[in-house]
Amino acid sequence: MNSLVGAFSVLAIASVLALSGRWLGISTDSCRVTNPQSAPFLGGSTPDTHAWSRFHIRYYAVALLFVAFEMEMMFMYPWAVVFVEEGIKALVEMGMFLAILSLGILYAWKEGAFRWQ
Amino acid sequence: MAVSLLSRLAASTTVPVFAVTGGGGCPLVSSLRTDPRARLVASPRHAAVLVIAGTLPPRLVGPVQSIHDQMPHPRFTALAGTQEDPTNWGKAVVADSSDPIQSVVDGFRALVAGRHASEPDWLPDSPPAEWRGVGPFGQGGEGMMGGKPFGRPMAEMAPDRDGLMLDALNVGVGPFHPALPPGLELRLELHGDVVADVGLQPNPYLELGKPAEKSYALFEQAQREAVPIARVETLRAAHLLGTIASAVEVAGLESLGRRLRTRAADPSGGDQRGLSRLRRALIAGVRWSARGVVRLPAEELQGSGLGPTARASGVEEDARLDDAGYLRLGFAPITRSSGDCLDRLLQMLDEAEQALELASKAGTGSTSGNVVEGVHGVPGSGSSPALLSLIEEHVPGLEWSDAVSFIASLGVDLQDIALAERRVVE
Repeated sequence: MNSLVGAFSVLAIASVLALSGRWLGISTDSCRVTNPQSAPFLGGSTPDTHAWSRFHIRYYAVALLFVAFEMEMMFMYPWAVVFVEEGIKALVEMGMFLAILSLGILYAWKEGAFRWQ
Repeated sequence: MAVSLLSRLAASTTVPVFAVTGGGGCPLVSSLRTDPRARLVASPRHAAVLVIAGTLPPRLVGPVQSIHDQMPHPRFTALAGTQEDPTNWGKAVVADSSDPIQSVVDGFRALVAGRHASEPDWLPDSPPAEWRGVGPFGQGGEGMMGGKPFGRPMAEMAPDRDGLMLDALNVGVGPFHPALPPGLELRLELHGDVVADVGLQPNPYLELGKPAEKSYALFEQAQREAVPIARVETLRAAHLLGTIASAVEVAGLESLGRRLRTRAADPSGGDQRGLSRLRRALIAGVRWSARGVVRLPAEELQGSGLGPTARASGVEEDARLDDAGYLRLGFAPITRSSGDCLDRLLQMLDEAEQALELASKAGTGSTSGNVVEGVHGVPGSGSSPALLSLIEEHVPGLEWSDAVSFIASLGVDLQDIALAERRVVE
């Protein structure tokens, strides 16, 4: 019984504190966002269309670079272990592999993926 | 006690100011950038004081009201160097003409201390249209595409550069956007961050009845009579340094901008090493964002009269070549070759340096009194209207950051363009 009273007391005190905090916030609110403040700042202009629009974020350039460099590393570690045993054959295979990946890197470069902005 | 201490601490800070430039307001805005008492901020959300510098053309009143209402409370407005009737601007304070920045500081302290009430909104606190509550997201139409939420239609689909059909965002930017010259208002069609199309709104400063800016008066005078070359070239150096300062401030290099403006205020005051240090800082600061951006071909600029912009692309045109006074000093135009944004800024720095050299060599020598090269090319003028057509021609297809760098590198000043256009009409 005592524990039930204690639980209700805690609930009542918490409710009073929460509600009084909420009331204090509403009654002293000087930061209500007005309609002009909720509009984006465009230097005095307003947008002609709603901001809810879909555009191409162009993740593919980043994804292409990730795959190119990641695959290089994935293949180079085991290749380095067997390189001495396999000799020139391993070198040629790695050359072909890097040449193919380089095409992807060159394409990403052309698309501006390396531009510093 | 604690509140009083907090108020005193808040009042002792530099004043966050958002400035809008009306006719004749450029010098004050420039001094706000270098004055340690104030801090120009890039958005009204970070400002406590709106400074209206100069007289506003009627078309700019609406945008200024909108900017004012976007400032958080507490806030106040200061009118400086204006012919405006203060009663049209609510409880705006008229700044003391002898030291307007001190008036701004005093007003800010009174505001923080509670002696000056925060200004109410100037525009109605209501959306452009009511929320209609129709459709799955309450946007007022069917699916994602219909309706006009709060009076703004949903974006229309258009082909983007990858051949996909995606939404085109139509927005107006300006006339007081910190990344653009004051007064310039662009209507943009954006595909993500790529500008698909751009349109320029009419120059608002043309609405001002009489010339608002007298800073080029000496160049005007040089069209009619002989004036000392030293004075013309010192003024040229100051204007070119100020233009570079505006461009680097757009790139976020405010400290470098302050150094350039300090030198522009007294171009002959420093030595050659000071300019070399500025050159190194300029190259280090903007080479990544400006190199290779919008190379203007020389053939496009032949005969355009665009001064440093044309010479940065290798066009050897300069009205000073026709002036006997300059030829006696051994004047030869400086040119560059690539014509990109970095070259245009370095060209202006080279020409500022050359102007100071000419000023020191000229002694009491004067111009011939026929024509003199303006700061941005057109004889006797600041900026040329032809700069605006370059924007319309070259901005489509650029990413927004490159578009901003390009416009900044042109040194567009709409107040000077208004003066030049008015002169043509007269």
